Amino acid sequence: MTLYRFAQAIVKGLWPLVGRLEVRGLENIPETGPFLLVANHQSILDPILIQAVCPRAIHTMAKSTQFASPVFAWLMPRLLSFPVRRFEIDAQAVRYALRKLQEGEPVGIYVEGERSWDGRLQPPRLGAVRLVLKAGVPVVPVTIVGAYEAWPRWHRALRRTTIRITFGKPVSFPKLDRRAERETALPEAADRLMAAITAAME
Amino acid sequence: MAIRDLLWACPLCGLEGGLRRTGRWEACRGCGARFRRGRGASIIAQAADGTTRIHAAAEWADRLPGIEEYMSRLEPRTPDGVLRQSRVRARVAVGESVIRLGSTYLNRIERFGPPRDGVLALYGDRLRFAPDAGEAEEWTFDEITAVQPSSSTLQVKARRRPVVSFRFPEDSARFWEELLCAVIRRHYRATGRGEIIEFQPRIVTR
Repeated sequence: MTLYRFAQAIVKGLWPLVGRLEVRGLENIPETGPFLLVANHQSILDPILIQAVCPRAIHTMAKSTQFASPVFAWLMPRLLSFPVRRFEIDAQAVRYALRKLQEGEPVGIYVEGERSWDGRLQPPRLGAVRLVLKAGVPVVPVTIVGAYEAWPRWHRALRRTTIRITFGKPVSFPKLDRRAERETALPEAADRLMAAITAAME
Repeated sequence: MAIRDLLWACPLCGLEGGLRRTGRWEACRGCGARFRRGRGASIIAQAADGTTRIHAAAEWADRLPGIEEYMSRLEPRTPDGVLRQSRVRARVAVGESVIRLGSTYLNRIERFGPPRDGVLALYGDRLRFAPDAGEAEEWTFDEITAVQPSSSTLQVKARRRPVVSFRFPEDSARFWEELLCAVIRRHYRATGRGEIIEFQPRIVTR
């Protein structure tokens, strides 16, 4: 946690040299208790900036390949990231996320599952929506705008620009323990989730 | 990562896989147009006659045909039925590593072996990787369980086989993913296996 808070301070301190950051809706983040932070994914900057400005320390699900080098295998867990293997049903990643929520801590996921190639919002990964329905905790929708312009997936360099992060009001989803119930509720839950993220895009 | 990952064909002349890096620019081998990043995430195109156009990345991407339209006129390019082939750098998972935070077990991650260069070919019913040295490997669509993009690579997982990652030094990883998914979808329809609704974390049909 010490390294996490140190990294937060570094990012917040140095970011003004790189670009402008507007943060809205911090009052929507629950001060205590578990929640799922569900964000869109425009750029490699998203987790760095969202975790830097969010007052609660977020356990964030990250693709397993990010832990491949020894340095990142050491660093990422200390920044509260945990790996998910996206090419198979990764029961351990789901178990770990649910355990953290049960311990009263927030967990972050990127509902599109990968960065957007063209900057547009992509359809949600259904596995992320299943996690929402399995967890049954409040969902804080997070919308990040401008990160694609700063660092799109198809380019190597970061450019100076304004990035806006909006934390939306928490949205409630039912806790559905039975798989059949979750599958039935999936389409409507996916629509509600994406609507909550889209609402702050304008 | 390159503009060619986003623009798998030249948006000015339509040549597929035609963009090649030349210094700050990526140039089309067909019409000679040059592309580079402009302000924010815009892309500047300079045609061979010197005309310059600037559009947002999404607007340039919209000028390319959609995958369904592309599929409707997709024909084999070789007598043995290759639909598309590209030079790739392949890496196969050779084991797993455990990730912990102190004494807390977080998860396992795949550990990839050394890269092998070769040619990846897409057929109507399988993928085939022919390395420059060594034996070719195939993945039939009936055994592929997931197709997953990761940064600028394409990951493919098959039943009881390790995940394999392909990097495309001269082609678009994004387009390969879309095309592979579309061809697998067509194969599933043709063999009566239903409509695929997701490719990750595993292929699921309706």
